[in-house]
Amino acid sequence: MSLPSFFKRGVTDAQFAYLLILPLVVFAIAMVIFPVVYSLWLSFNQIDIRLGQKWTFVGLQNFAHLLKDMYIGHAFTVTLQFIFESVFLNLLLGIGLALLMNEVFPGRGIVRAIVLLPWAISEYSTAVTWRFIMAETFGLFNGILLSLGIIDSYMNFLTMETALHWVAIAYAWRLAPLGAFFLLAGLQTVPEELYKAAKIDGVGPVRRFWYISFPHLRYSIFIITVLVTMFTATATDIIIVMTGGGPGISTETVTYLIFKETFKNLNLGYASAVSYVLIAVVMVMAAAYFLLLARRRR
Amino acid sequence: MERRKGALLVLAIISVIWSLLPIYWLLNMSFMFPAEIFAVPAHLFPQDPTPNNYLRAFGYPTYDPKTGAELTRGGGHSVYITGGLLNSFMIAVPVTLLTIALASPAGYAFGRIGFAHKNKLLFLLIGSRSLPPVSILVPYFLIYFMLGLVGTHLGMILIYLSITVPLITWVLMGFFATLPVETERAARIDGCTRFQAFLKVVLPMARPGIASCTMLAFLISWNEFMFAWILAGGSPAQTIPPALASMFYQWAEIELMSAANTIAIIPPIIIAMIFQKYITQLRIVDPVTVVGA
Repeated sequence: MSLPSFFKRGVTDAQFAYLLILPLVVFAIAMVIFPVVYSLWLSFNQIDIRLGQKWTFVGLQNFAHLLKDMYIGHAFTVTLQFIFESVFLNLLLGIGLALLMNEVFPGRGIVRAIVLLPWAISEYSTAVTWRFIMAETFGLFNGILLSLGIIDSYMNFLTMETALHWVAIAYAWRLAPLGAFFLLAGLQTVPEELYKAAKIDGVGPVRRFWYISFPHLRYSIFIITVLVTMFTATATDIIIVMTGGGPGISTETVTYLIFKETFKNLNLGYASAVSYVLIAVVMVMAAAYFLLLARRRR
Repeated sequence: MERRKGALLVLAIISVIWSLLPIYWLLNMSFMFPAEIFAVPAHLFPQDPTPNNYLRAFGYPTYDPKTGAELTRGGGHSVYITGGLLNSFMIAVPVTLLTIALASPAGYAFGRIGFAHKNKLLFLLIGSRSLPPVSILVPYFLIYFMLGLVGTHLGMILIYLSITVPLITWVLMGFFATLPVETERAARIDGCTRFQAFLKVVLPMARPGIASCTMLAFLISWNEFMFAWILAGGSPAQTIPPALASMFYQWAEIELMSAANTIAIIPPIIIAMIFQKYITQLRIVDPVTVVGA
């Protein structure tokens, strides 16, 4: 007998389920819960890592400092703007690409394969690539605009006002294919007869989308909105590599602020306090998502 | 009808250009000599293509094509690139295999078995997955430092598992829940235990879902940058993204960076091409339907 008799008999379904999930729970506690709790302890301390590790308990001082820190408000505003732009671009690109990929045309298979590609590329390489594209002295974007005669000489497009938009575009370039494929899966559940009937009745493409496709996509759109919000709220690589928070502090998101406090200013305790605010915001969002879905079912 | 077909084709071409142009631009620059990078306006294809940047990335000396004079010595960057690629494989492959081994039974349990506290356990999983990585970097660094896991393959594998396993469990849970129950029931009646039924009946049916999750797990562990940079950057376990980052700071050579980045994105692109057809079969299902909250 290849399997222990333990598996053969005497285990209820529920016990079997717990057995299968046990590794995950252990993992979640060791790798996530413990660091998060440890992080809370860190946020009550001031940690000096320049000369050995010197911990000083400071209680809630880090959080008090946080309330007075003018960078925090700015960072949350930037993050919020980044999230809005990112969700908008992802939905726009995702729905557009999904509708296209759902149509029948020669070469559809190749188009599907190509559209997915940006998603396979790391956030790091995406950031490097888009940094090169938008570069002031050698970028593709400048090159195209100059060749078309739209600009007279090379200029900087990553300015205080516009840098965040370009980060959002680069981020959406990489992330939108995922949403597009979710939506494509949703579109494939729409019965073909509905389209045919609507076409015979002379319903135009816009109304066909709104009345037939959209109801089938609502759930996917919701999921994508939630996922993109989560991803964007926690995105770090793209900011660090593409703009480094700059120019000035115009693209400093909360995640970048945490990164800067940790590795540039070496304020480990303070960085943990800021992290905690972000963790709280993200957990509230996750809980809201969970509850919203639960209510939808009732 | 013809007009419609034409419009679709135009849209398809625009989508392809949008998706490929940035990748093409990277490829384009990677075949240029340093001087051509700064041509104004930018050249859309290298006028004098050279494999020099790739040769340098892999540690070979390069020569001027006209005079034959040595341009750069060998060595140097190759340590980063080849070492990074090797480490990325050594980390991404075990992570992918372990993720599937851990997450498919768990996804099955969540998707097909009713048990107490399912909701809370699921929230624990989804919640732990949605934490911003940068916010747990500090505790991770200190804990890893104490345990001696900084700059080790094992340390990186553990971190990536903590990212992939909850996510893949969640995705597979939805997938398992949509599979028909009849076959499994028949297997049970024929005397299979629940475990045997899972292994012999349900798992084979779930092949498309598992295939797309294999891709997902590989891509996540291949592409992750932040943890790798902080916890393994500059160490013998450094994966390819931090390897590229350290190059970027030490040698800001655009043509070489382009070549190195092109090399780094080839394996994930191949994986994505292979598994692409499965991803539409991955029905992302309302997790609460499954749990029945």
